Amino acid sequence: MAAAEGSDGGKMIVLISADGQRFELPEAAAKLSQIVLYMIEDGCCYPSIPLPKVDGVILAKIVEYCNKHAALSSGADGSSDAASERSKERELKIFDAEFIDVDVTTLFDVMMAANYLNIKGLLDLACQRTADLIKGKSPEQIRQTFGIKNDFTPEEEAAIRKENAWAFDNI
Amino acid sequence: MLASLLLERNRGSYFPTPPPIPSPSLNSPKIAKVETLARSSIHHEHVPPPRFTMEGDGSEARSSRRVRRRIGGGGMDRVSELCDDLLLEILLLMPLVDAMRTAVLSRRWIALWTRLPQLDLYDNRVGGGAGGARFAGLVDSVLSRVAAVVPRIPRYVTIRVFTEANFDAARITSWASLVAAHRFAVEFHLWVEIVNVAELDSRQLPEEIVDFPCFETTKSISLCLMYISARLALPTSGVFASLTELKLHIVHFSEVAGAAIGEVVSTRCPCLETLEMEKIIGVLELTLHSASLVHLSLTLVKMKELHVVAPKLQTVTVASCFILCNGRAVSISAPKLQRVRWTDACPEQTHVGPIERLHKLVVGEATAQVEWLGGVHSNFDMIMRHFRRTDILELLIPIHPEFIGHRQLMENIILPHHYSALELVVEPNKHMFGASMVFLLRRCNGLRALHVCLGQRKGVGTCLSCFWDHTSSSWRNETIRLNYLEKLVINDFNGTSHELDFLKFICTCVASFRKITLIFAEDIIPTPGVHDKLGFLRSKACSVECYYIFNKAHVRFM
Repeated sequence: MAAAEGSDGGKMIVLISADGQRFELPEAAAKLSQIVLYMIEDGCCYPSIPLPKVDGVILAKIVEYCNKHAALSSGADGSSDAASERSKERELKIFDAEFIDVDVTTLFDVMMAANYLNIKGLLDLACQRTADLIKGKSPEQIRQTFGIKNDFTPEEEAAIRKENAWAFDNI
Repeated sequence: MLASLLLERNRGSYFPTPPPIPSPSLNSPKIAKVETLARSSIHHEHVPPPRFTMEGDGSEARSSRRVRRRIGGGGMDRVSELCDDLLLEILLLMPLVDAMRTAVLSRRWIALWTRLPQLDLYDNRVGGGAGGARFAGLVDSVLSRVAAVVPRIPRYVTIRVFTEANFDAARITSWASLVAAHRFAVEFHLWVEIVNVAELDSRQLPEEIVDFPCFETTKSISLCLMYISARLALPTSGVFASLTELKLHIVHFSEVAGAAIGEVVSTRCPCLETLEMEKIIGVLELTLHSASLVHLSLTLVKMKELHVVAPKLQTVTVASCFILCNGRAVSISAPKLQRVRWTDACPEQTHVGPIERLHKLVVGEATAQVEWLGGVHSNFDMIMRHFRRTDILELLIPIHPEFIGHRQLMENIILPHHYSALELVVEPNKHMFGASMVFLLRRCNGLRALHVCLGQRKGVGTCLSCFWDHTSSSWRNETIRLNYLEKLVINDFNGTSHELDFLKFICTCVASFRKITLIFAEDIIPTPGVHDKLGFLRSKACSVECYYIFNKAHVRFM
């Protein structure tokens, strides 16, 4: 079942989410996950690969990411000239920017899943997005964005601010 | 405005090689093999359960991780649940001040930033104006905080100062001392890159000494002290016990340090493998006795004498050093030398000890930065006299209109006794090189491989090489015998009639080529006319490959 031929003749892999949803994707896309790659290499991908830690909503997003990146990765359509490489790169960049523009809960679900499935590009993308949400913001803004509870007493907080005073000058 | 313009330009052109930015891989994702699949959990094991639940049905929030929360308000704090490695990975993706500010978020975050493995302290990345006190205070604070972290974390430390207001020799000395004393730096890069605007008005600024300490555990150090009055002083004691790589760019040594650098490298850097010095003032004599040195590169080091005894040395580069101040003497004892690149004058008193097997010798004109020296050339003949055997000889032949003495240079070139491949790199700039090349080839009858690199096509004009070519155009009808030549490679071919003449000439000199490779200059597509003219290559009983380059890819057309 998992090794069924796709429409383009390539092998297809089936992933099963925590809530039992079934996702079929080309082997090349599935292999972007290091852990799925190991399972394919070890022949543990039949008839399907259960991923009990990832639920359907997030797995759908992960599959979308992998499909796009596998389809646009170099040489996928046999052409290798520089102009088309550049336009593919641009397209991926735009895709990534839109893909990761999600609320923080989804962002962290995607990050955890990318970490678990070991998809380096996606993990980097999620980390970068998180860093962008912190960069240039005041602590209050950051706490609000991520729902972080301030567990310092006002005196403690003042002391820490003082200790790191050089970092707070222009905020 | 002027200052910022100068700075911009400075960053662009004076520093072709900024210090490497190390990318420590903190977080190679933590899941290895299939067996671990079952054990791994999306949540890191030590992560506490969510602290907050929604108002209302708390049990639902606890039972299902998947309850969606909108950002803002009382959502779950997911970011604080991440494992330390991931959080550090995220903090590495922002300027250090932003990472430091996270200390105040909550107890989870208070000391995270102090564990960052990479500390980039750049004064142009600290917002809030260029106030010297602010940047200096920040660096003080960061270094003293991370120095106190136990156990010690190996770090990559880079301090860069671009703004004149931030230059304070005593402060910089204290930073270097603190990093050295606490032994946490695997790599230490200190780059002061300031173009003094004041330099134009007054050259009489008092000297300011940056006292460099001894780094006992650091593996790689790079140092740039580009500030008109800055002088570098070296430690008088201590051993750089772990140092394998030392790079000095734009450093003005103090008088004492300039005399001591050789001794420091020779006796107190027991595992130094790479020494690079570029644009150095204050080292008039450099004497190196090193049992560990493998690579030595000296560019624009204003010195009179160089003495090297290095049994493991493999590569040496000498570029535009002696030409700056009439070099006096050179001695090199390095039996394992494999590659020598010499684009400089050759002092009268030069001695090179026996070399087991030199693989490649590159000889060329001093670099473009000293072009104003006009007719002074690199003494090609003298350099080659000292390296008489090499597998490959590469000659960078200067052909430009200002160059006088071209013919004399060609006549003076003495080819080594033993070599099998000759690489001629000429930058003809549309000039005529034929007569010069043929003149050389007449003396190369044992040659096995010839590689001609025609360089970039730039200016147009008449030079002495052209003049020579005009007055001795008979080379086209000459025949010289290159009986052993098997391989010909021509790079950056433009398809001019002059180049075609040269190609035809070479082909008539050689009885039995095995392979001819012709590569056109980038983005020059051979016209049908050139195609026809290259047709004679087909009749050669050897393998012929012709390429042009389109969009950075080689396209074979013959």
